[in-house]
Amino acid sequence: MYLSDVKNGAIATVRHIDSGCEMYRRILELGIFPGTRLKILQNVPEGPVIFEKNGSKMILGRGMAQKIRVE
Amino acid sequence: MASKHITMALAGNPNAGKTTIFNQLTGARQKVGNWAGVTVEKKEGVREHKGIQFTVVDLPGIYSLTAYSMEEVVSRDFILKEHPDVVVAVLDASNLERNLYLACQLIELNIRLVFAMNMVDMAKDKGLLIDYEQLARLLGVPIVQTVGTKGIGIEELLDKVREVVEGADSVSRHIHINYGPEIEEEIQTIKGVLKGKTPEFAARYYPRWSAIKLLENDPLVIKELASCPKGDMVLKQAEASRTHIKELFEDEADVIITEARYGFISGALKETVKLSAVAKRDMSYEIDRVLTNRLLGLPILLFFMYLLFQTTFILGEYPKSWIEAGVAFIAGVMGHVLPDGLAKEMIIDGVINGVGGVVVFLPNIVILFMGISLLEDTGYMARAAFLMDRVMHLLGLHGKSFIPFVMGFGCNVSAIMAARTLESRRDRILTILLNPLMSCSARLPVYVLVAGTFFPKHAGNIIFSIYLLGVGIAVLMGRIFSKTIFRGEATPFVMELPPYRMPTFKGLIIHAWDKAKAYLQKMGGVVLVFSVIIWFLGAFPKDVPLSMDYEAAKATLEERLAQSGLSEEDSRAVKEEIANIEQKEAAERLQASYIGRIGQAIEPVIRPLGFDWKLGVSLLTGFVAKEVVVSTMGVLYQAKANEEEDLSGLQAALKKSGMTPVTALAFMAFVLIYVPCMVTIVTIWRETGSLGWAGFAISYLIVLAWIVAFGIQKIGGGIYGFVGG
Repeated sequence: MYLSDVKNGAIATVRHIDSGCEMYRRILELGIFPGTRLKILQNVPEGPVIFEKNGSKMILGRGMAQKIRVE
Repeated sequence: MASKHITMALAGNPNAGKTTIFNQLTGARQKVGNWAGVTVEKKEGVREHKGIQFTVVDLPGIYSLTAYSMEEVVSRDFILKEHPDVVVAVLDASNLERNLYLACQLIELNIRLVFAMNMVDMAKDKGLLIDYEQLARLLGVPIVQTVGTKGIGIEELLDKVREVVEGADSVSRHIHINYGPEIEEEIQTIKGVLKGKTPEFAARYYPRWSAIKLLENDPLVIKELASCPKGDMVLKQAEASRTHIKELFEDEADVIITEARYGFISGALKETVKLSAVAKRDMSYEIDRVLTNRLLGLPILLFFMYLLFQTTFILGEYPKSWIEAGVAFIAGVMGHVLPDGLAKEMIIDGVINGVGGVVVFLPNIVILFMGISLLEDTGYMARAAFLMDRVMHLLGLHGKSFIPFVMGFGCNVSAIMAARTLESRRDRILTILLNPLMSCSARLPVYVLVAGTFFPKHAGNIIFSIYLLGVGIAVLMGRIFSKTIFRGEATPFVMELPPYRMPTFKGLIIHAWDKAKAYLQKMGGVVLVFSVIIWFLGAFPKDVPLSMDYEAAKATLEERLAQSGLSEEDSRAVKEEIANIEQKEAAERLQASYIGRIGQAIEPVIRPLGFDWKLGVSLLTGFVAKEVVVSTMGVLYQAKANEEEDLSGLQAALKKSGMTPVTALAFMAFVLIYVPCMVTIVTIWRETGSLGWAGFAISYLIVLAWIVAFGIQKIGGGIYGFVGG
């Protein structure tokens, strides 16, 4: 499933990031790559996702969240 | 006396408290400008400490030192080419992992470094027990603990910077982050070719860093190397190395390197950070559950916005009336002191009226900005961007564009400058182009006047609908632009959600002072020049045929006034008569002046909208500043319109002029859309870096304004006629 599908409060482990553009690097630099564990804080249908990684909170637009495969 | 001078650059993630530290270090002794050739803000300040003069350069907030954003390039260039004595990286202790990513990249540069470990109090509250000494030893960089908001650690930071510059500190040592044997091998290979074939380049930058950057496919390093003799041989080796890595790992080299950096960070943190069982509850988390709530979030946001604008207007009234009184006083003094003549006219009618009319809004602007800074510094703006993301998508943008749009309701100039926070140029330009549709505060006087005249019972609602119209059109144009000129998805929305923080009073004051200074500079600059020009166009030519001999009429009346035995009532009536005559003369002269002629020349274009040449001229003068529209109308319609309370005269005159309520609506819509003030246009030009976009903005807005006003006139007129009004 994708990051955009994860419910509030759940913890997801990144498996693969689909896109191959500049945003990919940006996401990587922010510390999101395969193996990273993210805790979903606020997932609004049709909206962006707020998650937390090791104490650091971030917002990710839906488009991007739909490209991150997690489990 | 300062015997020594140290230049230090401040780097760090946005939200790490870098600005607070900068303010603590330099206080009010700072200068704000732009980095040469780019629209990235540059801040510089000075501080004296123990006999040494420190120059502090605040680099833009960045997450990394790659070459993909202007902020990163500016920071990198400054460090590599200007050679500051020390770079101080401000790190957020409560967010170490991500902050250390930038720190690693700085370490790779092999420069003199000091880490300011900021917000150690928040880290402690989170229950993080961090062994900073051990961490410093692992990284080879001295760490000074700071709490920027409380001013803790600032002096120690300056001491440590001095120690490092003098080579007297024991912790500093250069370390290499190990990327694994395969990548290390490629790094060595590239280094070899680099040193052998392009020794000048190898001498310019730390070779290991250059090699790593080449593996990462860094465009700037590649470009610079390509211009060196034999540089292409190094580039070929870099390409070969990259391909090799890709074959080995099935992933690009830069991905591997990024992951390796985080691996290194992870290892360092494992050794130095322990989570204590006693952690204060994360207040931010709790607050966010309410503020970003699916149901409550948006209403709360709307409430805050409402509060913001109410405060701006209500609090701003007091200082505003003082300034108005001040301007009137100056005008009066000048009136008495200056000898009659052209210079006096220019100063009073041109400069004082023009600049004075705009300067009175300084308090409102400053308060609005303080309010917005408050929202930003507390961290709430990020939540607002999250909540508005979906709405922004309707315009073809994303949540981050919300902030400039909100600011646009105050003043478009700062709103457009705020668009710098958007990473993608496409998003920036689109946001800037749509921004003028957010009705700025300067247009309000026009709405108040017109709506108050023609819709006295529903003025408030009408004005609110005008604002909504602006938003609606922005959505429409946003969609159109997104499907045509700005095709392609809005870049994905990535934004850090900082923890909630209490902003410092000092920080707010500095913000306010900066904005006030910038505003006043604009007043003294562009506005002053154009006020004089518009005055000139309105005051000349002087020799025009008049319908009656005004001088003679006035003389007769003044004689009557000087007669003794005149009753109070009569003398008041005569004074009024004189005032009326002066107004009439002024209006006639204006009609015959250059600007009057221009107004009459464009009248055919605006007549289908129901506007006459007077409205046309008023609209033209709106170029300087929108408030000027009202004062021009006052002159042309022969009524005093200087006091807001005294609008009755102008309102009556407007009604008598034959203007209909439908035309009034069309007029307000036109003012809403047509063109922003010239300061805004100049800002659009500067921020987009192209005259073309500024021109495009002007063109599409004028055309759109005409179409909408025309539509209102025709449809409204039709309904009106149908209803038999």
